[in-house]
Amino acid sequence: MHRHDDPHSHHETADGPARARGDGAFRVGIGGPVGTGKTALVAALCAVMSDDVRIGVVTNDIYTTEDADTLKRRGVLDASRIVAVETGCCPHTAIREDITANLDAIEDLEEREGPLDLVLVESGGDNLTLTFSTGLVDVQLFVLDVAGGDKVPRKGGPGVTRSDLLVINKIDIAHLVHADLGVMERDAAMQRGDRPTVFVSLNEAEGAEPVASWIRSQMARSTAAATS
Amino acid sequence: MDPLADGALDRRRHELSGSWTDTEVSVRLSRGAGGATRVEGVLCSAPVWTRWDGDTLWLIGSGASPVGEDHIRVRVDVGPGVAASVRSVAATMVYAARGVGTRWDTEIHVADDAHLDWRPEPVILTGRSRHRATTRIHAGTGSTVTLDEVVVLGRVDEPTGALCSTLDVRVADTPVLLTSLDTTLPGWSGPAGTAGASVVANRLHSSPDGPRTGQVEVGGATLLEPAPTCRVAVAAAHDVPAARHAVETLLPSPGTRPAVHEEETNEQFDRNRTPLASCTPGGLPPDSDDHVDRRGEEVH
Amino acid sequence: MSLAALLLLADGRLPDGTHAHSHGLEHAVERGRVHDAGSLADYVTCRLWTSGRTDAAAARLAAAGVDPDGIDDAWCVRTPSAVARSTARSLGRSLVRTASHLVPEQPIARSDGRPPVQPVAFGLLATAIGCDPPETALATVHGMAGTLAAAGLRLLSLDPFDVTGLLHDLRPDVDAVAASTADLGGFDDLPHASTPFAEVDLERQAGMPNRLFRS
Ligand SMILES: Nc1nc2c(ncn2[C@@H]2O[C@H](COP(=O)(O)OP(=O)(O)OP(=O)(O)O)[C@@H](O)[C@H]2O)c(=O)[nH]1
Ligand SMILES: [Mg+2]
Repeated sequence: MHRHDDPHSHHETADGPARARGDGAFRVGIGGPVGTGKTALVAALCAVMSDDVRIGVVTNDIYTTEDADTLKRRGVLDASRIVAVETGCCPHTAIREDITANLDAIEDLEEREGPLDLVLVESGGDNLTLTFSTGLVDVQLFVLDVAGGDKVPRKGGPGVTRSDLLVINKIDIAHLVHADLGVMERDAAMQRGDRPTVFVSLNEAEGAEPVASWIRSQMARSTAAATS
Repeated sequence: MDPLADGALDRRRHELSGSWTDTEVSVRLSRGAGGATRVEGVLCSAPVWTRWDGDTLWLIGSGASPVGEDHIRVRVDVGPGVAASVRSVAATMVYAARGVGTRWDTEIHVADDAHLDWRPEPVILTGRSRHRATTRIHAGTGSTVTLDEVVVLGRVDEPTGALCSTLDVRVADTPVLLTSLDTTLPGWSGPAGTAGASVVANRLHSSPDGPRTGQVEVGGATLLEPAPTCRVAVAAAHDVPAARHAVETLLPSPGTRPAVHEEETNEQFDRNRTPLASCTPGGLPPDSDDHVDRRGEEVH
Repeated sequence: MSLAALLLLADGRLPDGTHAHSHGLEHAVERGRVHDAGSLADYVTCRLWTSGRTDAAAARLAAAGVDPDGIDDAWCVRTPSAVARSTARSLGRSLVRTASHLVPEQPIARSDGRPPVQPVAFGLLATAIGCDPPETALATVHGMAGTLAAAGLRLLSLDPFDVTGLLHDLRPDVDAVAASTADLGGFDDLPHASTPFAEVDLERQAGMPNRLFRS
């Protein structure tokens, strides 16, 4: 099984430091194509982390508040900790070129529910060029799935090459879609240099654990940097 | 052929009188001795007559007016604690304009704890009209006001004249709403304007408790909330009944007077049935208008 | 006056939150009243001469140094749709943030601490970066035309050349609406024209189950 349970995550991003952090929560962007499991990841992270981490969630929906509603239904978090941003046809604009609506949402969330330790920002499903503005999030994950075919990491694009963590999901069904995880791992490494990649199945209990531990290490680093 | 169509009548009127109408009617309704409603003021001034029938003030227009450069002012003061309705007996036709055009200014003062239900017949803009209307409402603390404006954009198969109608509402001296319809603006009859509708209706309802609202989904109409104590239903429709139905559905008209005033005023109105302002030129105004029950549903 | 400042302000890429708004156009498209470039042009024209003109006047007065709270209150009294008012407040907040990066020494706020409505915030930002009042009015109207046209392009999948053509044809209206705000004495003079279907669209869009735009 190609699973990096302890992804080394000390890559200094070429994109420079994240936004200047104040007292606010650590912000993690979760992007990726449609249906790869972004919302499933958010739900799973809440499940494995929310005992000791105060989490808020901002979803970016193309149509209304679908993802936020799903999360609220699943009861992974207090409904009041989940807010939806509507993006006017352009999910990438709302997390990259004009992040104001997301900043408003995070500010409101922190003011209402704060203090929070972690805010997960899920983008609307978009293409491989999707990246978050560093003014919006501290680190970003890009979620692919095996169902899209094992050639996807090879195709590259900023989402694949520049995200801080690449998550390849749905490995439980890899055999059904004839996806070769070895090929995916090799191509991801080629595209990403030493940026980490994890293979997960969010269908499994604890499936998000590798991602959760990566986020925890990032949060610890960020706190250390802020206090030093 | 309609003599007004080529301006014949307005020219004739102008020749006869030497000037256009410039007139003011001013009616004060107050609580007199024993709680009876007193009616005072300049109750008639051609072309507008008024008549009080005990709980309703009837506005009666006469002659072909407004026309040319007629300027008509109507002021109604509803005194503290008075509950009154205002109706008109017929639609107001606005005829061909001259010079600066016609003008109709309505000024309404509703005192503290007074109630006014102002729902006149439509204003019909004939083809060559150019009309300016302003309605200013000064509502006191604790008062309720319902006010309808229904505009028909041209008679059948006639292009509309021009209207700029402004509604200015203040409650306890604080501006609450200032809005206008201006048919001369580019795009007025397009998809953001009337979308070709020939009737536009507004209903204003201001009440300290926050007006009661009806259904919210009505085609071609919507309910607006300028302030917590004020609602406006806006509708565009192809005929007057449809427009009225839309605003009535969104914002039911006050069916009954508030309970505190009901018993005493009804009794007093009965004792004071004799019309006080009876300078009506013709017969009595129709005594039936839309009666509406407590749930705000029309009962015919 | 600075032409570069004007161009910056008028650039659709200015991060001001407007890309997620259609100001009711989405509902008009859903109802079929706007269905092609021609009906989109009619829609935009009407909005420019009504709410666009009010906005331009408010922004211009704000840029001219008139009391922002007074303009804000007067603008709200002229905006009967609660949806339109809250949209303007939220877009105003976005501009406050934009301004805090561009001109941190000139914070934008109402005296009660709330963000001003969008046109007032826009006028304050405009003057802070060096635009004069007539330019501010022009940029306001231009911005509204661009926001509506861009929303129409996305909602109807129109030919971008048609949409640019539409904006090209609207140049005289954009200029005229902006120029028509020249002689205002103060916020009591703010225009207040409104139209039935614009109000219907603003309110109803907010309740649409599957909408793409925030307003
Ligand atoms: N087999 C399998 N299915 C999964 C896994 N994770 C998610 N899914 C399914 O994939 C589908 C899409 O998941 P979502 O979490 O909604 O994906 P998303 O990326 O948030 O989708 P959008 O927000 O619509 O772009 C759902 O039906 C999930 O149940 C997994 O690990 N294995
Ligand atoms: Mg999702």
